[in-house]
Amino acid sequence: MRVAIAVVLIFAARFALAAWFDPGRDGDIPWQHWLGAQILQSHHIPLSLGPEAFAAPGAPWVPQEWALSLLVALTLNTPRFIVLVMLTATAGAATLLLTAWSARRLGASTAATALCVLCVAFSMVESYGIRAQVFAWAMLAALMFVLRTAEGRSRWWMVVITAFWANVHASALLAPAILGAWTIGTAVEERGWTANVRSSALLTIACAGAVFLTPLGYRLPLYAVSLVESPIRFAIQEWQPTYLSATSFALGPLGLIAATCVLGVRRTRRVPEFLLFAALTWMAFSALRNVPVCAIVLAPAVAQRLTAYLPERLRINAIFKEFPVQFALYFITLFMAAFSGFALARSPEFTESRVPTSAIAALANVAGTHHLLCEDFAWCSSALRYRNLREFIDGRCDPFPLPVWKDYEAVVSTKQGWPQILGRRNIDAIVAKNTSKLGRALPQLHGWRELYSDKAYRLYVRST
Amino acid sequence: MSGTLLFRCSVTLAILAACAALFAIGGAARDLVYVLVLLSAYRGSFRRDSP
Repeated sequence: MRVAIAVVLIFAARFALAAWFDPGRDGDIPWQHWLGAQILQSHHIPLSLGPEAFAAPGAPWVPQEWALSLLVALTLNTPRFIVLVMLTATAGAATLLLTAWSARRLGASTAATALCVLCVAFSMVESYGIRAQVFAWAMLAALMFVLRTAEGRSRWWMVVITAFWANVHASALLAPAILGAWTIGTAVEERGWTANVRSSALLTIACAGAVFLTPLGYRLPLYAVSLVESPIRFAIQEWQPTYLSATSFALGPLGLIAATCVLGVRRTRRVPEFLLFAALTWMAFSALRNVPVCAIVLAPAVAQRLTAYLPERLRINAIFKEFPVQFALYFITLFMAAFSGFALARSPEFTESRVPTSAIAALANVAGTHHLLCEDFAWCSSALRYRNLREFIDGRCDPFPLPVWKDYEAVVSTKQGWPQILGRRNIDAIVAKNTSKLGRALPQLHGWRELYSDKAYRLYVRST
Repeated sequence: MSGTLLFRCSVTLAILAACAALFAIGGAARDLVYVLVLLSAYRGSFRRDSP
């Protein structure tokens, strides 16, 4: 575990910094802050869009990230924000530690464990932030740990984990799906309705029931199922098919998938492990957001298989038991964590805001109610804090109906007839990047004028 | 012996390059890569001589 812990420490520093600077970079934080404040004020979770979403007021909404929203509302812009940062960094570190622990319990060697933990860490870096899915990764790692290493009654911890997971993120539906695949695999392997199969089937049913144990009740699983074939996936970067040059994929699950192709799956549970490999590889290929999920599930099993070629008796593993090497390892780890933290904290790419908050504030300062369209829909989440601004689409994404998304896409890609859509949808303000297609088209728009511009963004409003 | 190893490495690299190209094309080509990955993993998992 020593090298794995060193890897975790380096990445934990990186995670903490990413979380610290996240509010200026992530378009989701503002709407989560707004939702949390709404829940604290009204003492109930809203189940439909309000008038702030002028294109779709009353559209059904399942705010699955309500728990994180509460945390954000309680901590953002207060000294308590550090608590949220530490919690998020701890979730990332816990995912890696649970993966390492899982690998070790399966008999993986020091070097094999460290290599696989490194793959998981890289798979998480690109998507990391103050996001509900970061906490979901920790739940998934915990579930896989119990599934692969626990026996008897302790396997029922998976039901508790699933219930917690469902209250954090809708991806909790993965728990019964994984257990279902495991049950089928066990039945095939043991060729019948054995005690193991019965126990797994019962656990699958119990975990399927646990996803209903949230304030959203039946709505959460329905919402999660609807996402699989959601028509709005085309507009969301994270739902696009994975490409080879994506760092999180190339340095993450790609190596784990390749290793499984060469080494095969874990020998003690071949069929269940193979079914999981097939399902998770398909998920990683189909959408970028599944990349960390695939790495978390595959890593411990790959570490176990890799140990056949990197056994504990080899010098590369034994060396880490010697005191001078341990001392050097932790010294270098702390130095690297501090150095990378310092470098990232000074990097403009990491610290500069990616949201046109000044443009949106300028619009809010103009008297009257404004109907705003943001070139990147996530920017519009920042407008939720202003009572006189209404948004066409914001970072909540899922509840907005397909016709709204189609009009949004037509406008941002300046497709034929896009100015007519602005009129039909009653849009009277647009914020766009100066260099984008829409941004360059705005000055030619008849009856509109520039209200605000800076180095990166421009805001246009109707003249009348 | 080294000639055989060289040949195997070349074939492996050619297959990997072809898989990368198919993956980049996307659509049905990507599905083909997925099937190839599954077949390789199946062979690696269920063959008798593997450790």
